[in-house]
Amino acid sequence: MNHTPLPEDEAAAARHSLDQLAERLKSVIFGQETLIETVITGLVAQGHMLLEGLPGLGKTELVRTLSRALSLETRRVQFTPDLLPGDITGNPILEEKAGTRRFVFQPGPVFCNVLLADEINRASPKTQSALLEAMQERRVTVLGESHALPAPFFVLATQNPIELEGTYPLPEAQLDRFLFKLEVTRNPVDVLEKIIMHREIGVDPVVEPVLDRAAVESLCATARRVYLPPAVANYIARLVNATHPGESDAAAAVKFGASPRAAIALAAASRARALRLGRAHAAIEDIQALAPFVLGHRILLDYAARIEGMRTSDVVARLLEELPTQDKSVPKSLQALKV
Amino acid sequence: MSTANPTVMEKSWTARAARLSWRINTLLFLDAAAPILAGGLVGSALTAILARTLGFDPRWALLPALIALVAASVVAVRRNKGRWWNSSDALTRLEIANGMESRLSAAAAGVTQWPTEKRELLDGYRTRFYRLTGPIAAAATLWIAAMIVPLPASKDQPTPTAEPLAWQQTEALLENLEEIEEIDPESLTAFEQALEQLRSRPPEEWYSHSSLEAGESLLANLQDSTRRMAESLAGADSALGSAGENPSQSSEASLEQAASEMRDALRGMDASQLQLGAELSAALQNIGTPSGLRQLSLEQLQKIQIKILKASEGTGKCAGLGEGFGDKAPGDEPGKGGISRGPGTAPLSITDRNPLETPGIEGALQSSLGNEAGIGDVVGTRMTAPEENTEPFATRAGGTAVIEAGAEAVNRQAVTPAERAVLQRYFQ
Repeated sequence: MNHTPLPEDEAAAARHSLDQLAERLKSVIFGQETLIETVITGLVAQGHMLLEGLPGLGKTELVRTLSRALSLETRRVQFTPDLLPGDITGNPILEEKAGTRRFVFQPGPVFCNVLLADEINRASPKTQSALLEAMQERRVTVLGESHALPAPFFVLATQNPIELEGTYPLPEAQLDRFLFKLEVTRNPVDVLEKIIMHREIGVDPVVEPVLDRAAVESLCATARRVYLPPAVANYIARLVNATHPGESDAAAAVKFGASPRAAIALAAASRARALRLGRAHAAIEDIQALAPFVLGHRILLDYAARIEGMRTSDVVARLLEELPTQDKSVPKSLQALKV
Repeated sequence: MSTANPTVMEKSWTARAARLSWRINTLLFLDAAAPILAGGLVGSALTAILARTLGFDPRWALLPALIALVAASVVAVRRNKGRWWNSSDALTRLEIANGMESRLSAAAAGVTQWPTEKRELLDGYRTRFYRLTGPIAAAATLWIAAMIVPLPASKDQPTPTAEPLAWQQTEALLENLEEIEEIDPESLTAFEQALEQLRSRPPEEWYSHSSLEAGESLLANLQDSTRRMAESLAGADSALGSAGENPSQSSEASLEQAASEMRDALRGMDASQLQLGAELSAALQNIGTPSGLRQLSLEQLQKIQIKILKASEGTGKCAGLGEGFGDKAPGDEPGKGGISRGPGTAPLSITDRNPLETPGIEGALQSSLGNEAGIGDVVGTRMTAPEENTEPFATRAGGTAVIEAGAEAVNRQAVTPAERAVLQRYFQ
């Protein structure tokens, strides 16, 4: 499904806007260039993102800075075990007006452009599942009434990989709705030094808006017009298929592979990355760059592999190494002859 | 990557992609077809050699080669179904190998402009055609060699033009014998028939083992008969000589000796498969007694002597007994000390063992058994009482060693001095 071809100058203009956004984020978040670029890519692809990392690495700060730079309405919900679904989606309130009583829907914090779901794995599965419809359908249904969420709508959730007591790991269905799962790593010394020099506790950095809501929506629409060559689409299909056990050597330790939604997500992400780099067409290089973030949390390893300490990122890395970039590659017989 | 004239660039990239796809498709074809083609060419070469050897037209050998070519093509097409490269695949390969981020595919789709062509463009493949074409070339070389290299002469068994030597010698000997009037021609008929029977066999079998052996046997038989006849005739001549120049005046003793020699000669003639003519044979039979000799006139004696001498010389020559066979030499007569006076060297007497030393019955039996018995053959049996083992047991009740015998002796001898010392220390 390709739209009207995107002119190259339009792609260049989009890149210029996104360059400004990236520069703004990098001026606040130090040493996380890859994370910032990937978050921008996910934003342009209109995908939800799950950030995983230890406390204090800047996950929340990144989301807050992003929302300020985009002039988008941002809500933050600290997920706790006693959080109820209505605390996110909103509740019907009995209202008496002119002698009549009726339930009036009181929108919850999910009605925003950017929802920061902090430590999402601490909420109960019931509350987590309340986000399912919002993330996928971009609407909320309460008492039989559906309420559309504002556009654009992004969920940026965080979770930390320690202190797992009393947490509820996200179910596979919900994990699948996140476009990216990004690991936030700690900073090296020089970056820490820079942070120390530029930041103070209790003082929020001033972030001037770079893009407004309309511009973000326009960028998202532009990304959908990026051309996806058949060879790239074929590579995505073969890559996702290869995540299933029995389809490749790398997937030998996989219990369940990635879903077709992962393929769609990978295509959208590759388009967004191409636009971020000013291209009017996606490339195989985009797939290779984004596959670890898109596929990593969509693959379930078997018990033995988990016991051995294997990670899904290892499987994806091996897949990218093994899978020929081109469907019609030279046969193995010719490769063996080194022809 | 800057852009240039779009049309020129498009043509350039398209041509480059076409070349690459053609190269890859050729590789795919050769990969599938090379084994069949090479095998077909080798088979064709062998067929050519066979056809040339058997005298057929070697162009028949083209048939396997053509079949192999068709089969290779069919296999290559079927095996590579869906794998053949087109221009789009080649463009994808070029952009991947050169890190062009799908720019060529996008340009081919009309999304972007064609990029400027790099000089040092790679396609990621280093084509080594010789690895695929090498076996085909080798097989083709073999095929050409099979078609043009001269073959050695036909190895068919030629019809023998010359008869075996034994046959020729037999025939020559028979011809010579036929020239001797005193020899009965009918006695030669059996040999002639046997020779004709050998000749009647197919020429291809003339030099077979059985045929050669039969020919040699026939020749040896004829030569033996001839030699016997020659010696018997010489004996008869000698007998007539012993009877004296005029038998009617000879003594009774000399006539008796001459008659005896004549009878010996007649027995020798009977032993030979050659026979004398009826007239001469009857005359000799008549003079096998002293009375017959005495009645012989001088003229008859001379006549018989001439015939015998003639027959003796003829058969002696045929038997290869040399010139002068039958001539009297000093000492040839019995008791005169000549070299041929005795019976000659006894056959099979070349041995170091003194024949007078007999080994006795037991020795002869053992020698015979030892020489002739094969492996596993029973050379003899005997019945004896079992031998009683008079040695005492090695140990007695409680395991205490009594004497060094049996297993204990082996055990003691197997222990090294160091081990023995350890055992002694342990049990102390």
